[in-house]
Amino acid sequence: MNYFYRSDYFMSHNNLLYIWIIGIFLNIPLVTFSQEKDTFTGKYKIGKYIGEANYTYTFTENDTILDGMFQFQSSNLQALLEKKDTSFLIKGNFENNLPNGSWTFRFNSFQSNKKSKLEDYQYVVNVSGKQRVVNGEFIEGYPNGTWSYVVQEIIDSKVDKVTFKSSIEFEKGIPQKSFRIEDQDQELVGRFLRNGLAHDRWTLYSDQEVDEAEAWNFNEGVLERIRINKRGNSSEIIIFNDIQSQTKTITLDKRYLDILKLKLKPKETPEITNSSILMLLDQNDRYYKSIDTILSDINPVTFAPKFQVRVPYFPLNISEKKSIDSLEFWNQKSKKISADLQQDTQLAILKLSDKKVRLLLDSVDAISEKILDPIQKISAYKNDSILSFISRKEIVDKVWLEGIPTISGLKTEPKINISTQNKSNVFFEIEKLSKETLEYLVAIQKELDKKVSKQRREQKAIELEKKMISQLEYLAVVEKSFQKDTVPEIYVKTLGTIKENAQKKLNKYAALSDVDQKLEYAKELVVCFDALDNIGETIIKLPEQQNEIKEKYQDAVWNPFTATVMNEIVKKRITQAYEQILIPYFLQMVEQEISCDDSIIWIQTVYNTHQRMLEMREENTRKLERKLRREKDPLVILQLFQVSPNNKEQE
Amino acid sequence: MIKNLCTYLVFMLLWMYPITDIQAQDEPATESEFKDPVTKLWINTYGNIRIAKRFFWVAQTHFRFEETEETPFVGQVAQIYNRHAIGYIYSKKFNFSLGGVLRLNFNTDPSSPDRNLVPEWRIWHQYMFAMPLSNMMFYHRIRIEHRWTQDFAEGSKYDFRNRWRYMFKAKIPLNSATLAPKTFYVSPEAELIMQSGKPVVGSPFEDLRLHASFGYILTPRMTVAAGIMYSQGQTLSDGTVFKQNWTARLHLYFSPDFRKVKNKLPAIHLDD
Repeated sequence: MNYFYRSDYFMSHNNLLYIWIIGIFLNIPLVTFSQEKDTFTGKYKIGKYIGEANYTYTFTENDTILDGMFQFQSSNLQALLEKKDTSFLIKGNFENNLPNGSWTFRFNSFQSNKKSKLEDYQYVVNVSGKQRVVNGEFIEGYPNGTWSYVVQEIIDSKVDKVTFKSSIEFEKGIPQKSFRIEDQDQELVGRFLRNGLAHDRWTLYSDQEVDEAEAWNFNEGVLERIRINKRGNSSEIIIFNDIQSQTKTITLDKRYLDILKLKLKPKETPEITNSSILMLLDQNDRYYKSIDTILSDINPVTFAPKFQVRVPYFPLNISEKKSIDSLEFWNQKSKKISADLQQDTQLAILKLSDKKVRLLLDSVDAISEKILDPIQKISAYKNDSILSFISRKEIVDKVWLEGIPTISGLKTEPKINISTQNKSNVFFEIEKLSKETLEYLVAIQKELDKKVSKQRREQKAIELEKKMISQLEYLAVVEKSFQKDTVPEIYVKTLGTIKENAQKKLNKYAALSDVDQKLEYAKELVVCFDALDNIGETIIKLPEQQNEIKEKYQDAVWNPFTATVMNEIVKKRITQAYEQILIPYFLQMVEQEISCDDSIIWIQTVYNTHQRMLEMREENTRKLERKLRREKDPLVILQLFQVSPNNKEQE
Repeated sequence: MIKNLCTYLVFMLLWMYPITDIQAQDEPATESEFKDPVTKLWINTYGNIRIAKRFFWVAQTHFRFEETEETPFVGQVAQIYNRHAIGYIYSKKFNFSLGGVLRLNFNTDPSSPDRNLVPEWRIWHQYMFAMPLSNMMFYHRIRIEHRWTQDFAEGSKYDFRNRWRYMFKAKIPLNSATLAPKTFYVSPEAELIMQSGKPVVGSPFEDLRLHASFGYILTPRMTVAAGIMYSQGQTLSDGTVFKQNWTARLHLYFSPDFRKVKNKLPAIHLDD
């Protein structure tokens, strides 16, 4: 009212100009919001659905904002007539990019009987198949009001039967009042509080039972008990009775079922897992999920029934979380060791003849069953995010019916003790057990390793012997490939020396009797023979390399007196030093039974020398040639050639 | 070029014809007179100095000795001559040269009162053909010289004569598949030298040289050889008198190439 007065006041003072300006500013948002809508008509895709879409939208800051009607459909008459058509229709409204107002989803999988008739100027074809129809309303993206989900079987264009039907009432996404889910044989009814928590009695009626077949009793979200009637027998399972701890509200989904299973005694578990109520809830969840898959692309709000339940809550503190991480780590290591030991075929054979081995392996089996597997279960609870919804005692009871075990007498005889005492920090105790178990397994592994290592060493020595023989044979092959008339005798002789050298070493090996010594020496020899093989390969290449150098160090010169082109050797001092000093030096080194360690250096030096020879042809070597004039020492020549020489020789 | 060479060959054959003719027609002399052979030693250096891709400088210096009564072969210096020319390598199988010669002739007649030393001048050009055959090489050399000579007598005038020379030569490697460094070779050689000019009356056949040498190729740039040569020919003043020589010959062949390396390389094979 005051404003009116003020307006009057302004007007009375003839300030109409100000009012007009203020008016313009006030109107700007209106102008902005009253943008024109565009319509899209054409091919469209959401997830696996491809069809024709027709919708209106606005364009703001490069973003397409869905606003107004939305229709997306696909049907293929040709496919229907030929075989089968999977059609769909999605129809609704958007407001500011959120589903709003009434929506319909229809999915069909139809076949035709391929007979048509003409009715009122239209060809009519009868169809049979399955149809899912979902109807409801959204408000700002949240389901609101009653949502129905119906699955029907259609025969000759008529509904033959309803195979599933659910009807749930929402208020802005939160289930309200009561719901009803039914299939062909049974029907579940239940109700919620205004905050979506399950409440009171959820009852399942079945065609096979006169009375209620199953009933879940909730009290403000807490499932207190389940009553099941089967063929006149009634049983009751107490779930959460008299909760002392704090609680947490969670969604009734698979995780809730996992928590329930942990609560139940073993014989009760099948009752729950086979529960018809759960089956119907699960079926309903899956149908809602199919709609959510479509909407998730265009609606940020999850489309789900979101039935709320309350469960006891035991939050994990930091030290407990740390313990859990550690025990997981130790347990993984332990599992690896135990698996290795259990799968070791040599141990499996040795077990038959060695009592001690059998005893140790039996204890590994026991540890695996009584410690490692239960700890693995705790790990799984953690991964399923249910560890904090169950008391520490219940966890221990669930994995160890008789309490946390302890290990004692590790060094002498394995023994697993069970402690029935309840420890204050359960996870810390388990972590300790986990670490001790690993230590114990490592000790067992060492002991068993000792038992098999002798056998393994012998086996290994045999393998190495085979390798050595094949290496020696290769040297013979190399030597054979080389005995040609064109190759100077010295090369063949040097190759022979290598072979003799290898043979000597092999004889020395054969004379050893101690298995350990033999194995060590065999390992050494395999490496050594490899080096000798390489020396052989290098020597075989030498004559060829020398020819290459010879050709490289030739110039073609025109001799006017003979009128012919003649080859002239250039840089003679270099080629002479290479041919007459270095090559004999290399061969001599091999002849003097080159040690295995020096072999690699030898091969490298020969290779580097050849490379340098190729390079020096193009280099200015006048100074070098002068220095080579009277030089006969191969090491000095190698140095002058800038080839890194054999280190040992330099000392 | 080839046509010119053919002309020269025909010309030489025509010159050779009168040799026999002269002998038949000259009534007073019923037979030729052959002088006693003179022994000589020639030390010859042959330089072929490469100066460009296709050009070379021919630099030859010959020291020629002759017997005296006391000393065979090397008794006295007979001639020293310098032969120079610029050569052109047309291909591996053909090259030609053009240049001059200064020959210093020593008076070898101990009883002569005349001058001891007179110069002789020549302009010369030669055409050398090389023919590979199996592992041997054969060569045809045509050399034409225009010479100005004078007698040892004081105040003698220069006489002008032309010399027509044809040489056939082979080089046969002995210890190697080709003529390559470190190869010994034998080289038989025959050269016919004809002459013409006003002073030449009935004595066009100046010399026939038959020479065999044994050589060794040290490097592509250096070869040494030694050989013995028999030669005979008409004396200029009297065609019925034939002089004869036995000449021991030593040869040094050298062919330096002072060009920079980068210029040498593409020139080796010329236009292969």
